[in-house]
Amino acid sequence: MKNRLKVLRAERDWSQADLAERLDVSRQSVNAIETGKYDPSLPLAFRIARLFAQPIESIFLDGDGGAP
Amino acid sequence: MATRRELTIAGYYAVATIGSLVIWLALALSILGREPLHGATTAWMLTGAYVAAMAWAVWFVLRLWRRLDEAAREAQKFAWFWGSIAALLLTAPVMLFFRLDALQLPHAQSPGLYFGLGWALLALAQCLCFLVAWAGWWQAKR
Repeated sequence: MKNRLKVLRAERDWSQADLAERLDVSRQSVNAIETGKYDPSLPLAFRIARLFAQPIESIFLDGDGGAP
Repeated sequence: MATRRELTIAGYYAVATIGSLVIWLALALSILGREPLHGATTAWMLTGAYVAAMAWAVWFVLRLWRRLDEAAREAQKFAWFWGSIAALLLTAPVMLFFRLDALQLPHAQSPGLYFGLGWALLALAQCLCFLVAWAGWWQAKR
């Protein structure tokens, strides 16, 4: 599943380690989510959405990356 | 640089491993200082000491599990599942080969030693297969 995590993180000038610290996950997990290789659980997806103050569907894009 | 999370997890690994080793050695040396090496009483006492050492490790592994994030847990589940299956499948022919005494090895030791070696082979195979599967999971997620 594609997502806008990297863009949102870059907008705030956060490193992967910064984001990992805020989400209480490892940097490797953030990297895996950003590259679309690992889909987070719903609780983690909600934590990400809360952190960026955006709805989940605007961060995680369904299917091949088209509009939600 | 290691993050706080990574240091915490490494700390749990260290405390679990070193702690259980210290408990095992201290109890074993204490027992062997009073009891002869061979004998049913010593065997029961050493087994109890080993259980105590493993209980220490299990306590910290439980705490460690709670500190792992969801991706790390997924990696562990994947690695133990496929690593264990691979180890069982890979060691089964080895077991048959030795069971049929293909190498005609001399066997002057007690059956207990061979039982222990068999267990150690399976445990080693499981750990090696786990490591391969675990590394493969993370490599695929990079």
